[in-house]
Amino acid sequence: MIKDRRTIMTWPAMLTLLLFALFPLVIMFYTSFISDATGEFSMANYAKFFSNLTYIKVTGTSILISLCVTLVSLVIAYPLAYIMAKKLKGLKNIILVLVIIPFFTNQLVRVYSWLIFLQDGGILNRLFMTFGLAENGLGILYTKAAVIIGLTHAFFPYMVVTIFMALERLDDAMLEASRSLGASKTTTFMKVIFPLSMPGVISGVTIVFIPCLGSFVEPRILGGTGGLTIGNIIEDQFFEIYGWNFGAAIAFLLLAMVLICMGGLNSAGKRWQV
Amino acid sequence: MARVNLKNITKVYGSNTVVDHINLDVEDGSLVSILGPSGCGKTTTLRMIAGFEIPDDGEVLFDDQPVGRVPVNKRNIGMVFQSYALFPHMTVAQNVAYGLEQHGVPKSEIPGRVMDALERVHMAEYAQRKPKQLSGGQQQRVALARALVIRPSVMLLDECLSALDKKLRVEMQSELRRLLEESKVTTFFVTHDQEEAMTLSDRIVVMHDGIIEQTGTPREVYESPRNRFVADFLGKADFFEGKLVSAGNGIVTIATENSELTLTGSTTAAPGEDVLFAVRPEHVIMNPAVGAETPVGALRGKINHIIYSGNVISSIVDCGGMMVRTEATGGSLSREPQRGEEVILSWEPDYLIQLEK
Repeated sequence: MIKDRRTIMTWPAMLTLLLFALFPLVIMFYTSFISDATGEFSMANYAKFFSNLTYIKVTGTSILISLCVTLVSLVIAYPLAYIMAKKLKGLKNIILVLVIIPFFTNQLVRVYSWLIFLQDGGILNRLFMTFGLAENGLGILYTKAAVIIGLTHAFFPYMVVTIFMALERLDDAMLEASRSLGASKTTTFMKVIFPLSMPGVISGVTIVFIPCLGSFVEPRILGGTGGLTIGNIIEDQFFEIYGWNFGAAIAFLLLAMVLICMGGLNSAGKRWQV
Repeated sequence: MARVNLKNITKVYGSNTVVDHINLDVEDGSLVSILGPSGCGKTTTLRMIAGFEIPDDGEVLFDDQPVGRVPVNKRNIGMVFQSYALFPHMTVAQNVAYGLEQHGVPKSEIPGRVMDALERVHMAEYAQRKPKQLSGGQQQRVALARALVIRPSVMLLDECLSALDKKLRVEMQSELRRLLEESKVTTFFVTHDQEEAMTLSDRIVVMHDGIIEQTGTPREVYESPRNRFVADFLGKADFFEGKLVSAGNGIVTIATENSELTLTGSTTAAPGEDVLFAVRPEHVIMNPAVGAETPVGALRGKINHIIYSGNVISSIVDCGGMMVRTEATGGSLSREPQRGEEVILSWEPDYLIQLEK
């Protein structure tokens, strides 16, 4: 009886998930096997994806962009998180708030700000031209680089927060123990701090890489044709071409990719768990 | 394996002088406890010896060499922390091997020395475990092995037993003493536990408010405390304060605020001087008062309170508004003291301790 009463509390959440997540997913999975052309149940949509080199290329671009964003975020976030966790005392909460601000900024505002900043007559180009560093401007806008910048800005706070939490949990006495045993600061970092922060790094990588794979707003606005991603293809199928069944098939391929990545990262994370 | 000298070392945080011009000379191979209440500067002193803190004034010398510019990792110290600070991602053996690797010990020698160190702390069979799989006492042993294996010149132990429960702590005390004596390493032991300091060290340094109150063997510090703080912090003591009226024949007479007291004992002070005496509860003998006579040098009072704690029975006696404690070991009393009973308190003349005013 008591057990039943407790589970009642979870019913609203379960029902919501069932209705708005699982049920649509099942329908989408079913429609992904319905051919847009003939309306028959077949593998045609999946075959179409794999037979067209453009789709494969775009998938490659998506993976490349996501990898770059993850790497750049990691390179920016790790030192920042380290300084916040180990060097700053009172300032760290203020910096944490500053880091989290992109979270609270509307996605379109954020992306259009980059558009204005990066465009031909924009601040960045004019600066470079004034100082004679680039004669005709940088031409970053509408390339993969612009997408990477936009996505990094959107997602690196996640990386800062996960790494910060891992580093803050680290007992300072452990670092002092390492130093007392004859290790230099660099060795202490390589052998103690970094391995122990790996769980934070891996959750950061997961939380940045996965949403990047499916992103479509930044690529659409900042990417031009070179920065087209798998997210844009899916978006087009649903909103432009009305090829919903094909779109569903691509979405499921993306989901499969995401699940494989998560599985891999998860088992990597377990290896580092102490 | 090094002589350590602290010369005038001082540490200031903001407007707070945590360690105030401390001088201390420690012989090669001796075990020294730095004892004091929290906030007395004992941990800061230890951290300055380790090199984690740089003195704002004065210097630390190892074998007459100033180490001010020597970074922590070049000082050849062994440190054991209150939280043990074992590396959780390494096995016990890897933890112990870490320091040897950093000191450039040849790879072929490392496994042998690791097992040797683990055997000395009876942890050899746990070599392949992770720290998380060990109890607090076992982690403590590994932390000790890890610090000792590099053959440090100076061992620094920071409240390293205080996280253990009492029984285990007492066990570890004697084992720790054996280990440190075997390794002949100069050891500094920071603690706030007087019993720990007594058991573990050859010398006790009592610190308070950033200064050293007294240095001496455990016996010296306990039996001849220099001042009120030391007498009160190490063991228990009751105090008699006043102006000396007269002294002689094993009796001192002092004038307190409202009366005159005659106490058994002697003094080096001259009449008219302000004096402070202390007596320890275990030295006070309590007898039932017979008749109205109070022997000269003894105190008469009424038992106010009795505390039974198994091995010891403590009585707090109200001697005309002044509370004096007395302790008797369980079996030594011919009969149970009763609350409200009239008693006579006395002690041997040597047990009246004269303190600095």
